[in-house]
Amino acid sequence: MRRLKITSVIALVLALLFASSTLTIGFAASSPDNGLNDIVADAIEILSDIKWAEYSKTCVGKSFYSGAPIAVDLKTATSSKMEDIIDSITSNYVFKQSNIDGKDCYETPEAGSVTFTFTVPEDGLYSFSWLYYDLISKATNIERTFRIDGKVPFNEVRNLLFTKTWIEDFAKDENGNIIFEKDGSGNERRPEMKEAPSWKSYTVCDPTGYYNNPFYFFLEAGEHTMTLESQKEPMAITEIQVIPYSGLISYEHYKADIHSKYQPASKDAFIKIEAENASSASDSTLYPVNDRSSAITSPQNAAYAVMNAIGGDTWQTMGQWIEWTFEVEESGIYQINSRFLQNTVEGLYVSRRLYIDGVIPFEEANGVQFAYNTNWQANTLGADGEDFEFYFEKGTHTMRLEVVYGGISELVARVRVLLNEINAIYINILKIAGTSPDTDTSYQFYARIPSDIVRMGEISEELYNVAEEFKVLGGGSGSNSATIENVARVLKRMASDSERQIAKQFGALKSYIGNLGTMLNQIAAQALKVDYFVVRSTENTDKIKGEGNFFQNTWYEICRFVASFTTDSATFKSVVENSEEAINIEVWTTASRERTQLIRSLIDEDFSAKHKNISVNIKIVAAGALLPATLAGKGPDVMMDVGQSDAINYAVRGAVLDVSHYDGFAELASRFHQSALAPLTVALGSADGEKAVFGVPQTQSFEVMFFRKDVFADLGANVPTTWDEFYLLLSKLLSKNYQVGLPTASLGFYVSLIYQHQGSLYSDSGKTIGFDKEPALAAFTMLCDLVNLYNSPISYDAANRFRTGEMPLLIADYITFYNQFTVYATELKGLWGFTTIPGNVLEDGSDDYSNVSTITSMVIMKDAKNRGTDAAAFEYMKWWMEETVQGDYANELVALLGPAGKYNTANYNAFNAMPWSSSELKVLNNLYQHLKGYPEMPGGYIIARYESFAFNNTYNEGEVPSEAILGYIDAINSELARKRKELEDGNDESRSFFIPRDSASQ
Amino acid sequence: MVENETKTETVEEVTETVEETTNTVEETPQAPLAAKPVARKDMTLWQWTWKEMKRNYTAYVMCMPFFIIFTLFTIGPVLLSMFFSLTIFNMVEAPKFVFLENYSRLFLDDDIFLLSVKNTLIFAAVTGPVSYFLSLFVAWFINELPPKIRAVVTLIFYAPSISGGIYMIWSVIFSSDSYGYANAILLELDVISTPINWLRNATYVMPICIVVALWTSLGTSFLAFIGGLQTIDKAQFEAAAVDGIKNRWQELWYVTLPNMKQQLMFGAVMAISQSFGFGAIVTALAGFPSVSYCAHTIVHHLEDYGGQRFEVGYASAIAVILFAIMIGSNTLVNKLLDKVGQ
Repeated sequence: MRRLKITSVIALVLALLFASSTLTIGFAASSPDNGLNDIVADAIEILSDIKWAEYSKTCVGKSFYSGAPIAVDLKTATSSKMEDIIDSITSNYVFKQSNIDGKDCYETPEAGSVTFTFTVPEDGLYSFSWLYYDLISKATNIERTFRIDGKVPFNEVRNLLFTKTWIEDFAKDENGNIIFEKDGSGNERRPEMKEAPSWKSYTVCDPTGYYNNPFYFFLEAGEHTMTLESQKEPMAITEIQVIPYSGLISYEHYKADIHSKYQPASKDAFIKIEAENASSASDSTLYPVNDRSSAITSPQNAAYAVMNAIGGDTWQTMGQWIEWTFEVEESGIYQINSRFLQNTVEGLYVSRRLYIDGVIPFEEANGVQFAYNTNWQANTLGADGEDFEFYFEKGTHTMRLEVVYGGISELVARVRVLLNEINAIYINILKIAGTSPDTDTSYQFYARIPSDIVRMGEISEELYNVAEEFKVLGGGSGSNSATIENVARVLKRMASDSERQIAKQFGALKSYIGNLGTMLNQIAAQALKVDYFVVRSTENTDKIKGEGNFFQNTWYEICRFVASFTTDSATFKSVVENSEEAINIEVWTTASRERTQLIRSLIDEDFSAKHKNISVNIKIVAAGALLPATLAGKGPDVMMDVGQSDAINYAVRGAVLDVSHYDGFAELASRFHQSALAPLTVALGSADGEKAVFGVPQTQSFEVMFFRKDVFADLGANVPTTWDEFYLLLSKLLSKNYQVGLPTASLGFYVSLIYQHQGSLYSDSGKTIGFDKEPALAAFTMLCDLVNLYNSPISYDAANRFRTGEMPLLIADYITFYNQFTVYATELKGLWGFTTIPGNVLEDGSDDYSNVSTITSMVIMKDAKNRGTDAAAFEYMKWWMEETVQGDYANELVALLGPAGKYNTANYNAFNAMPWSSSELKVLNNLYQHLKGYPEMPGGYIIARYESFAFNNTYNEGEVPSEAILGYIDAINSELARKRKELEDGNDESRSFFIPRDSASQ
Repeated sequence: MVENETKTETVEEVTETVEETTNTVEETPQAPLAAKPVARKDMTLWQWTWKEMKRNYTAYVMCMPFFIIFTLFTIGPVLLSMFFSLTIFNMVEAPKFVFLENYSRLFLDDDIFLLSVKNTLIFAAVTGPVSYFLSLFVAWFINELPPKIRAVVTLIFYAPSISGGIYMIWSVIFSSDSYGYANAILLELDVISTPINWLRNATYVMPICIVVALWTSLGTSFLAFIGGLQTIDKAQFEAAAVDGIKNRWQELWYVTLPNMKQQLMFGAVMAISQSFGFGAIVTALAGFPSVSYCAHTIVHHLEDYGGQRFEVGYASAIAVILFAIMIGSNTLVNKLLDKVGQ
């Protein structure tokens, strides 16, 4: 008995041990390296995808399924477990069966995947369709990866795009026209767009817009699964069907059909639809705009901004649509005219897919063409010279125009595929010969890349053919075809005499590839601005005017000139009428007009409602205006967008108020990571003195490491997490002639390295510089060695080199580069990512990932105190940094500026409401834990200056790093001491700033 | 730099107007006067001046708008900065009077100021005379061309200075990137193995800036010279030939130059103010401050203290010194120009 007990105890212990060890192994396997292994694995998978063009070839000869649609049962859903997607902490949604608007459906959050099982009766080609519902979340589109039987059949279905529905959040009059609200200056306000979720039908088709028809998939008879893997945003789905593939009828058939059945509408049937009165749109950026480029845009006003058109730069990305509703009084055959401006795609036309009442009426409606002209034009909707005619029943109809490539899609797709191949060849050559090959060296190209050389010749031929077709399309306009021919010519030379020409033409190839990529992006941007549509009888052939006549135009310009004297475009007054005793505060900003307008509307909607006794005037100024205005006593109460060193510089001269003793400061401070507050916090009198905080953080930015997944996958290397790994990787990269981009000119990067070496920027509580201490010297040596020993370039066009792949690893400011690169290299979507900068392995074996952040801030000027408005000013700042306000602002910015409008709020919690993808948020959240601010002390401007002198001395003269930096210690210290003395002289403690002793960062 | 230009321009105009008024003043006594003649010696200076002013009031009214603006925006600030140079002033709080402390610090305790004076003098000594004579001779040569070709060639030479920040293309040429033109060519020719950081390297910054400054310097003075050359009466050349001028140099020295003294003076003032005031080119090319202060001029030093360190008092002291140097060299040039044709 007793023995049995012991054995059972031992067995139990063993079992527990075993279980826990497997658990830890399991845990360890899933957590290390920030999941970068997975990322590289992803990239390998993506790179091995075939394209639709190849997939469809394999389907040739197989029969299309022609039976009835097969319903997929929602009950068969199996979703990934919650633990696996626990990182997507931001979503309000989970995988679950649900019921929305009376439909049984299945909800999918923004991460994870769901799989459905279905059975098909025969071998054949099938399409898929379902209904989806855009659950309310962030201001970006929904994306899903589509898998069949666990595999991605071809690359195009990796990022299926589902648009949301947005409507203008303004009241409408009885005719359905929007009543535009006016701002305090009399200008019509851009309406806020709000999400209006609804059930929408979807057929699996090309999200990139190259192929017009739905995709079809080959399935063998029997049971299959389909998986939807979340990339972005939650959505609900229902009525999933496996359907037979179907094309559309041709316009010829359609026209013959309607003419055989119906008569043209009577001549006076005339419906005008102002384009700004759109009923819904796919993006929050598709709001009405003010056009001042033409005198006859309707309506038009010379003095004030009126909303009179829609589209333009924001309506140019594949899949974006706008829908209008109109009332037809009389059944009959109609034509649709539009007055539009297409002045972006020179020599070509932009295309729109036309839906009437939710369906594409005929095949040609896939590409309604809008020709190029620098002026406004008025034309009938049509394509290839044919004006389309439509039959409309009496009643309400909808018309939707969706951005597509149209007729050039096939050409663009071909060039894009070729460009990818050329890029791959470019990288292959780069790996052999480096960035600037030597013309006299024999690189043995014939022996090393024989297939690439053959392929270059073939690509060159194909490019020449494509260029010819572009010439035909553009009606002789040659700029696009010239760009293509340049690449073709260089490739031809390289292929014909590789040994000599590859080295010789390599530089030219690089710049021509860049041009070609830019050209593709330009063609892909199908911008179109529309003033109005006219639906009228085919009998009515009166001309609609595109531009005003000479007198109209002249009169309009005269009116504008006169009006320019009376309108103040820099001040944004409050629209809300406040009571007499309201405290009036003046806010200055250096932000752009658009941003200021956003701030204004947020104030009107939210702040004014919450603080009835405070009215806010906001004004755009140049940064230099602040000090003189303050000196004259005419300064603002709140200055926004102040750099961290400026805030302290103003404060030490008594121009800025300490905010730490206002009501609610503790709560306000808790919204920020302490790294954001550190630069604004000083101790007065001594390091242990009273703390003062001069301002409230507004934005926060820091450096991250960007990497090219495809290059890493190709190298079989992992993205480095520590500097040790970084050096190992660096030698690997250098041997393949890759480069690494480091922000050597930024003091922040150097300070990050100092912190990672457990050092500090200042010593002696801010009185002297800490560069002469061991950690700082080690950090400086490291920085210089990265450049001088490892040959990292000191200046480079980051976006360009990151795009070509010659710089697959790049440390740069996260928000600037992210925004820039997202729009710069759309073709690389999904092939790059970012992570924390490498950490330093300390002696005790732990890693230090310290990363320096810099902020911009809002400050209360001393004038506010004199006017007694300081408390109100603080209320405003507190409100502005609220989580919801910052979230709204960030989403509105993305709505306004598109994907490049990401905003780097300093409010740590608001971050999760920003339109980042879940994997990006995971990286950023992790990053935040390592952020450190660096303190600003009087005279601190001298540090960056001498640091760069020292750095340049090591680069130019080959000085020893530690000697170079030590040579400037005295100069820095004497300037710090001099400045401190100047400011402290004759003043009390309030002017002697020290770094608080308990501050984490010195 | 732009401010400096306009300043000297206006100084020039004022001296002209002053001259004109003095001319009229001198002439008036000879004009027939009212019944009871009043002699100059009967009155004090002030009385006489007041009387003359009343008599010539139209002239005063006419130059009044200019004079008000000139006082407000040129004389005023100059006097103000002279006052501020005696104080410590941080743009936010009221200035503290310290008498000559700023100047003593400037000359005795500011190495970088002395360095900037040295740099400024080098810049001025090289670019001032070279650009001046370059303008003069290019103008002289161009003047020989047929009118239509002359117009085109004038535009070509003048273009760099009208197109504002066009000198930025030099930062592309001398980019530290291995793809910058200079580096790319030198790398191609295997002269260097790593890219040279041209504009952040103390050895190269100064020469590059001087070259660029010369390139942009064929400006207003060059146009004035061309204008001056074209206004010279052809008869004078014939007369000079009769008088025994032997060659073109003599013609230039004895006829052409004395005839365009006004333009020469104008050109000289422009050249001086440009060569002392050009900080914008250095900043645009070499950054601010230039590496190891190698191209730090007085103007930079002024910007540094006024704009970055908020020490307006000290910056004013620097400005006053710069002002004094410019006035001094203007007087010197004036003296030199008097020798032309003698």
